[in-house]
Parts: sequence; structure tokens; C-alpha cells
Amino acid sequence: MSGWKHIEKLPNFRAATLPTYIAGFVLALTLTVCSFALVAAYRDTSGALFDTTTMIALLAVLGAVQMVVQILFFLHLSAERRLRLNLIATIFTVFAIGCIVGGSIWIMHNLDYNMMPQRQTEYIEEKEGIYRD
Amino acid sequence: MSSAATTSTAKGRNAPRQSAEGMSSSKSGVAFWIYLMTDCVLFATLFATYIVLKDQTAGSATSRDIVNLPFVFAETMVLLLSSLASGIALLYAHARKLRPTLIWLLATGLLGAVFVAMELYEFRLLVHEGHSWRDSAYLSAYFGLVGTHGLHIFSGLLWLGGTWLYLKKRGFTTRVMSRLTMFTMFWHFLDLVWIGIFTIVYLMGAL
Repeated sequence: MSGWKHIEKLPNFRAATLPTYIAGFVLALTLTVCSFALVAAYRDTSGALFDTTTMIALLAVLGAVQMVVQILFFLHLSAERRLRLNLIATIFTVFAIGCIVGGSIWIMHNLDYNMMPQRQTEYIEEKEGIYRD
Repeated sequence: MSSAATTSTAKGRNAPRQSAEGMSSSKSGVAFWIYLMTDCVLFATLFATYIVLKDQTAGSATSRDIVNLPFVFAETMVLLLSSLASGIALLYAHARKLRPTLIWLLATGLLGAVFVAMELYEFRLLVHEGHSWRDSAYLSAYFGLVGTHGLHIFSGLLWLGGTWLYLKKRGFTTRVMSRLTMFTMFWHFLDLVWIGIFTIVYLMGAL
């Protein structure tokens, strides 16, 4: 089997089986339906179900869980020795994505807050407890 | 030759790994994975841009105006089924069953094409309603992020088409198996990115 050397480092090479695909599909389907049903329920009750922050947190968790499910069941990434390099690359990528996305949100939110147009200074004054005479 | 084989068995994992195809090709599995990871970073920058510009609508459409939940749910199902079909095709390929492999790959391709068609229809409708990518920073970020994903799917379809014809003509050669394995990785990866898109762009946008 010398001809296979060049793809044995791919996670789904020989690791894929029908039961894992079916399990992954059922889990992904369930999580997707949960996400959409949550938003539909939120819209039907016109926001009375949860507040927006809770909804965003719930949707983020459902999305993240589904990503992990698909990485394990479809991409078949695991901690076995032949995939050590893939795992290291993945962990570094997750770190890089955290820096890019988290950092952008953090910095730009700060910038937005500090550079609000004149008409919104009253809002800041009130929020920061600044009172003018 | 036989002594070399004995040595490599004895040495276990430290044995020389390169085959007749040379050292570099024995690493191409990792190389392809690293390509996928760099693509992740590309999408991360587009997601970051989108999140930052989400509220900069300049009086044009907001995310709440353009989200059609049932339509997005249908798109999601089509892509998920396409991803599953590509996985099943790979299983049949490992079992060396040509006909089922070709049929499942065809299903993968058709579902992928339906997805691209739905996305183009969605874009066309938006532009038609006067919500073009030129109208606000939000719409630019939206078309940029979702369009880049669509472009990936489209190029995946071209790759799949080539591999399908190659497989039909030559059967299960090493090269075709390698392409199939990499293609299914790529296809599952694009479904992974779509989870981010429907969660952040469509579901959070609909709140």
C-alpha cells in the first residue's frame, strides 16, 4: 500500500464509517433545527422569550457545538498520532481566529464608543455619570 | 529490497516514509489540511469585518430586512445533505464500488449546484429590491462574506466535476482516491463555514 502514503495524513482517510456519518448528520440536523426554532420562537413572541444578549449567546453555543460535531464526525479529526500535525495546526488556527474576530470586535467597539457623533454625547454623559451645569 | 523492508518494520514509525513518489508527496495530506486552516483564517477576517460593520447600514436595508428564515433553512439542509452525500461516496470509494460512488458524487454535485443557484437567486432578489453591495458597509460585508463562501462552493463543484469524469474514465487509481479524499475534506469544511454564516449572519441578524 505504498501508494497511500500521501493521503494517510488526512483525517478522514480510512477513519470514516457509515455510523459516524449518520450520527454526525442526525446531531447536526438536531442542532440546526434547534437554532432555527429558537429564532422563530423569539420572533413569534416578539422578543418576550429571552433578551437579545441571551439569544446571541444561545445561538453562538449551538453553532459552536455543531462545528465541533462536524469536525469530529465528518472531518474525523482526532488526537491519534498520525494526525498530530493536523491537530496542532487546528489548535493554532482556533487561536488565530480568536485573536482576529475577538480582537476586531473589542477594538472596534471601543472605537465606536469613543467616537460617537455629537448627538449621542448626552447618552455617554448619562451613562458615565457626568453632569453639566 | 527485502532487507530494507525488514528494517523498516523493525524501526516502526521511524522507518523511512517516502515511497517511490518521494518525500514531498508523503506530506501532502498535512499540506492540504494546512490549506484548509489558512482558508479558515480568510473566513475569520471576513466574519470579523461583517460583525464590525453589521450596524453601518447608511439608511439602507438592515439585517432584519433581508433575512428570509425558511429560505436559509432550506439552503442549510441542501448543503448538509450534500456534505453527507460526499461522505457516503467516499465510503463506497473505499469499498471500491464504482457505480454507487459515481451516483453519490453526482448527488453531492447536484445538491451543491442547487445551493449555488439558491444563493444566486437570493443575491439577485436583493439587488433587484435595491439592496446592492454598493449601498452600505453592511451590505458590502454581507455580500463579501456570503459571496466568498459561494465562490468556494462553485470552485468545489468544478473540482468535483473533473474528479467525477476522471473516476468514470480511469476507475479507482491512487490519484483519484487522493483527490476524492481531499475533495470530501474540502466539502465538509465548507459546510463548517456555513454553520458560522447561518448562525452569525442570518439567525443573529434576524433578532
